Amino acid sequence: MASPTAPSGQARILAPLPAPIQPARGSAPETLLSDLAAGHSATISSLAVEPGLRHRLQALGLHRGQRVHLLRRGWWAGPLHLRIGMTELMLRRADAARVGIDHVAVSP
Amino acid sequence: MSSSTACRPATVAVLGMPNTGKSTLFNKLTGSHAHIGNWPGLTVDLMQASLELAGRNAQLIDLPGIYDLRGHSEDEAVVRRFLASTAIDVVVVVLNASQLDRQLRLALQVQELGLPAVVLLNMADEAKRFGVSINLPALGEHLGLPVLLVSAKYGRGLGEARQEIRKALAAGPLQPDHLTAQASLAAAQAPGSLAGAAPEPAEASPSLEQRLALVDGELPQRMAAILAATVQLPPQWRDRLTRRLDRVLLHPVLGLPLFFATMLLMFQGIYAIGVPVQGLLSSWLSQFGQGVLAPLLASWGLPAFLQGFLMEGLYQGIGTVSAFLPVIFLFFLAMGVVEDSGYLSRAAYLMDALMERLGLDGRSFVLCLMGFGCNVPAILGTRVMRSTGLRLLTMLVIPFSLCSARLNVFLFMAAAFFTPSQGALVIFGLYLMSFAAAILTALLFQGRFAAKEALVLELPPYRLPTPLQILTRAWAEVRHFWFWARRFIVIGVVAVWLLNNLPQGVPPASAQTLSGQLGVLLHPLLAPTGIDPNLTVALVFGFIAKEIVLGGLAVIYGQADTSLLGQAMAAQVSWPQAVSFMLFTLLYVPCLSTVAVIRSESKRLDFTLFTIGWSLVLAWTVSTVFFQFSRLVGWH
Repeated sequence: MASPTAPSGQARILAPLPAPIQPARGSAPETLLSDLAAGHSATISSLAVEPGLRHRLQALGLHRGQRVHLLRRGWWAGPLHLRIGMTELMLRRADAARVGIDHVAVSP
Repeated sequence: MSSSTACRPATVAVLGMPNTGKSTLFNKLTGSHAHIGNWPGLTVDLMQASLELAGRNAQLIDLPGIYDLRGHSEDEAVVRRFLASTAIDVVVVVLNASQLDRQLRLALQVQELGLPAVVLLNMADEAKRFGVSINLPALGEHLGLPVLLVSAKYGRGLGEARQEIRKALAAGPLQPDHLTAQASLAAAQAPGSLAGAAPEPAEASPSLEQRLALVDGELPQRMAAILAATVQLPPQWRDRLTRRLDRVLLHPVLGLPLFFATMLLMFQGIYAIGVPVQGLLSSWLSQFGQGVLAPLLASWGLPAFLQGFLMEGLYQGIGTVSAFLPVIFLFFLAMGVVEDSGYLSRAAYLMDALMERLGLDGRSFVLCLMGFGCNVPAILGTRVMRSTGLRLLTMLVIPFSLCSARLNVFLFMAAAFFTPSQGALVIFGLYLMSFAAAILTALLFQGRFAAKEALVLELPPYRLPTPLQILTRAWAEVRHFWFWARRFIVIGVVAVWLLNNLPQGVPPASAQTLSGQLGVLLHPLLAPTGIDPNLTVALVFGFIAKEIVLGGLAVIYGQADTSLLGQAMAAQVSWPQAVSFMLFTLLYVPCLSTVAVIRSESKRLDFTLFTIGWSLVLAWTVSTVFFQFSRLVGWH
């Protein structure tokens, strides 16, 4: 199961990419999916959601250890556009704030 | 029901996640002769179709699309109840081949339940395009189930799929152990169920859920191991088309204006093509009636009352409505393209920020858009929502969606009272009003139905629907509309005609007739809205279904040809009165079916009555404000 990591010239039409966020390690508060910048990838480290939503997220491919890529953030604090494996989905910011991530890097 | 299954028709359930092309596959397998089936113990209707397989009559059942057999949505509960309460011979598991990396989960769950199954990996064309390669024999071996690559859209692999289902059926009456007890229980209850008592499946569900819960922990590891051994994903995302289109269509600034421009263009197109076709059809029907049917009836020497009933009642009423079928067909054609292309999911993404602030979400918006076709399936669509508050609030706003039945009335009235360019503006204004009413309703009542539900929605890759697929779908929708509506239309126009012509001897449609009396009786209530007694009668019948309004008007004014009917109406009604009537028609109760489906889906009488009451109050208020304002500024 390879996840797309190879750099390419795509996705440059988006606004200039911000500097990569340094992942929080050890005692520092964990980084949340809702904080991820567009054009960045991360690995899911925790899912602090109720069981119903956990099932739905897992069925859509969002589980611990899975790599996700943030394609864009919606206008007016709208939902996030994510890519997980071969699936693209939208997730509200409030819900993304319950997903912990690490390993942040820019990728296509 | 005996334990031998030889004479019993085989039951084949089609199970799959949303966005896997499950319904397309179902239609391709059955030749779209599906009908709605009733299942004891299930509160919902499932599509089913008969199929001849291996010399045996098989019933193919299309289960609702679900993500997870352990999920918490109503659809997921429905599927669980179905699996627990029905003796199933084969489960056809439909998965999206290119998304096997997550969808394999469902196949594993079915396998864990020990249900005899055939796994179909659909959208094989897409998987190939995206560079996903699957080792089918290895995957089949890991699952212990037959696995096939198919493409329902292009009709590939369906013969083999039928063959595998046949083989699985022939493998014998394999009763899964969790069902044997249930089957005998159902058999014991069979005579009782004739008296209307559906077998209670509740006690069977826990065992199914327990079984799934048992394996849930080890599922991810098993899935990862199987995937690593059998599926190869592309090192890089290959769908450049989707990437490029999304950059424009989901643009933070341009996205929404582009979406609404597309919608506006779509409705303009439907209007531009559909209205002339409708006019032509309507005048043909009218000429046929006058030139062929009327002389025929006269030559048979039928009494004048009966002749009038058949011609002016039945024929004119039905003719006027059927002339609008092309417009409805065009509407479903366009909506089908928008939906199947993947743009509709993008609309949910674009609108979610606004919807969230109204206490709704992106799905509510999409359902409201679907409601522009027909409110009934849109309300059924709220089943995907788990939060009761969110579901109720969405059900409260959907009826304000200007459905195709109401569009018929508006297209006709716009043509009767306005020039074509003004008419297009009036229609567009009514669409805006429809949105405004939904937004106002959500704003006013979001506090009462407070709901926080997480929203995760798939954004499928853009797809080019095949012309055949879209045409078949639009045709099915029109057929459904017509089969469903004709009953109401026939009863409605007959009732309107009788009310307008009874008691015998008084001038038709005059104040002395029953409808005249009804109109006069209700007139004080509607006087501030400017709606006259004739139109009041049409509104009363519109409560049953909006399809009747137009047929009713044709009967009331004694004209079937829509242009002549328009002239007859314009002679008696001013344009502000007409607009007021349109506003009222737009906002009050869409039809009895919508009321019935709100009642059955909400399971709450008080809520159902509230939706009726609120829509009437809003309709009356808006019409009155408009009419009184028009009087004030002297538009009369």
